[in-house]
Amino acid sequence: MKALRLILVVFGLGLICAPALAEGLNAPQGRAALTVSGKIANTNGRNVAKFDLAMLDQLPQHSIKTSTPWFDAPKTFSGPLARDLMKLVGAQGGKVKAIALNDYATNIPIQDFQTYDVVLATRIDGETLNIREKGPVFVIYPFDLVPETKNEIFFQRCIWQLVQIKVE
Amino acid sequence: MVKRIRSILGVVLAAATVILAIAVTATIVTLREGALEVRVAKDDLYWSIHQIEVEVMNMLIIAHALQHGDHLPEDLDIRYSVLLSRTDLFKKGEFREAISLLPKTQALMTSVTYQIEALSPLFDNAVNDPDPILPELIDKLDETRRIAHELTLIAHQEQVTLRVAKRDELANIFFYAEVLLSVLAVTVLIGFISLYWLMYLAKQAKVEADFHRRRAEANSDAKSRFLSNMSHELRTPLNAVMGFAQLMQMESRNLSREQMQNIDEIYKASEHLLSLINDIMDLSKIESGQLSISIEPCSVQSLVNESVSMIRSMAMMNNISVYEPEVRLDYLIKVDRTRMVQVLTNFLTNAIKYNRKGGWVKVELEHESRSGMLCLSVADNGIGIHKKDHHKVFKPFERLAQDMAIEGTGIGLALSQQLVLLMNGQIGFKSKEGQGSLFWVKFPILDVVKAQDRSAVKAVSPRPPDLEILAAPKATVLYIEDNYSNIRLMESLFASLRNVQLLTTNNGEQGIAMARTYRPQLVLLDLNLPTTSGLDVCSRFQEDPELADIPIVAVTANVNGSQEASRLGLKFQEFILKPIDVELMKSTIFKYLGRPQAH
Repeated sequence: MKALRLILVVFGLGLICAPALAEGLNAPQGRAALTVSGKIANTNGRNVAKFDLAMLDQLPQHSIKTSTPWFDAPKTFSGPLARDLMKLVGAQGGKVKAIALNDYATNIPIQDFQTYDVVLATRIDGETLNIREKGPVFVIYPFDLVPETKNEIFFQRCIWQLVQIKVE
Repeated sequence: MVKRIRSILGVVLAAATVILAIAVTATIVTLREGALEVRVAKDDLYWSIHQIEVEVMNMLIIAHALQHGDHLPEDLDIRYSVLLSRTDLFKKGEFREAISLLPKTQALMTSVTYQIEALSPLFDNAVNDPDPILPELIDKLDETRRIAHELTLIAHQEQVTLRVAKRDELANIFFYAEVLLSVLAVTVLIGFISLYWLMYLAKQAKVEADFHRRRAEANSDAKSRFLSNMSHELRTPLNAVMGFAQLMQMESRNLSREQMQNIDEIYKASEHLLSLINDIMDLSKIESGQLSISIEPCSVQSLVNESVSMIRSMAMMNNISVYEPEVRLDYLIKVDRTRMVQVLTNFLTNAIKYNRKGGWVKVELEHESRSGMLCLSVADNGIGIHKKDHHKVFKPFERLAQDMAIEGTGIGLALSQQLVLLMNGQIGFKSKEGQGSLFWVKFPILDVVKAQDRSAVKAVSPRPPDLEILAAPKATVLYIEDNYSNIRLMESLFASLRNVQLLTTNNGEQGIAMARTYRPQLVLLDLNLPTTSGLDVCSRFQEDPELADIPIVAVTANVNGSQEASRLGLKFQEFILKPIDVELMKSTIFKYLGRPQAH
């Protein structure tokens, strides 16, 4: 009897989780904006998980209104939370190597994504970020909300023109 | 002047310390802000500027690769966007601020940005069909790379210059801070030294003040001793004068009418002299804070009755009517009974003395319900006091009377004022020349009670007993006294007493020996005796089991005798102050020798 209930629960869980997982692993329709590689469980390519803008938009969206060193006034940055993306790809490492279009790279501890609501911003004040405007993805910490993040270490982790994440 | 300089210096020192402290704090805040500033743009500026050159290089590489068909044209577009994002960086936020600090770099940046943005149409065309455009694009990019390189070099040079300038500025701030701190330290040091100096001065002043205080106390003690001696010395001869006058009055049957009048005059003059001595002693005691009063609740009615009864004969003699207040209520006030009577008597005697023939004196009571005070006033319709003399009324030794025939020393009111203040009361007066005066005292009312019927209060003066008859068997009284006339006086007094033997001696030691031999029933003892003082004699009596039971009555001119004796723990049955009242002396003697028997 106990065993049966356990089987039912596991089966039920599987039913609930399956669509989400299947969705995260769909192949991108358009040009890939972000590629996740390294220690990840779920992929949609050869050891990589590729995301186009539409796929990123399908994840729960989060907005941060904050001042930054790069803009004059506080701006609203929106996009999926980094921890949701990590969960989706089944990231199993301790840190990520975030790489920009111009090959600039920076290391971010995955713990940051748990501690803070780090947004992989695809929109600024509702407008899609293009490359010239530091798109397609701009990593943003909630600086104004969490003053302890308002220093050079976190500013440096806010990589822009992010195209690739390597989970290590 | 010194005090003023000192306080100015103190203020200057305090102000300097405060200003310096503010300046030091401000400097520290400035340094703190500089040190703790979160700097992204300022520190990353050179790196970000260099990235422009790097991106142009990247584009050149791609353009060259495109010529060999190694790359997609879209890559060119992406790289161009990246390049534009790098130049855009300096148009906003902290980076714009940071580059504005480097004017040459900023100028060059503007032209580099302009040149890169001008490439836009070229890139648009190259994406569609790169081949015909590429040589021109490569040329332009090469030129851009050259000035981007120059931008890198200028930025580097200018940033280094700025850093050195900043460091110089910082060095100045540090120097400024060090100077400020040193000055502050010196100021504080000066402050401490001044403080120690002031403390030293204060200590010296205290030593000096102590010295003066001790000297003043010594002077005051000397004055008190002098006055005490003076009083004693004055009372002793007065004792003889008044005593003999009383004795002569008693034997009036042997005297002619004129002699009798003369003796009355002698006695009256002596009485006046005695009251003067008492007043002077009181005033001097108050001034040196040695007057002790015993405050207790007293009935105002009884105070008035007592005072009025004391001046009634004087009023009659001067043909002045005295009106007492007709009241249904009596009041209790907290005063020293004797002293209060003294004050009221003083008011009353003044009202009688400074009056006119057939004038009146009124004693009035008023309950001031608002303040809860009782106003007790003595009014007269006498000669009054001229307005210009009002300020002198309570000053000692000021006599306002123009008529020198009126007796007085000018002490009475001064003494009254001191006494009333000592009893926590208020005193004052109203007066108009030619119309009369009103002197008042005010005391808080302790309680209101029903007034006693006047007739019931009337003092029943006991008829003095026939003193000449004494109890048998024959009694012996020992009188130890060094003043010859006082011994004579007492002998005269005792001569009228039958069955009483008076033994006298002028020496304490001899007195003790006589007491042992004759065992008197009563000892009359003077206190100021040569060699063995009266107090010593009393002490010897009390220590001797054979003599301890003999009652001792002090007969002294020393007003402080009672206090001195109780301080030494000596027990006298009574104190009789010289000059003696003959009647009082006699009744005291009877008290200790037994009641007189009827004939």
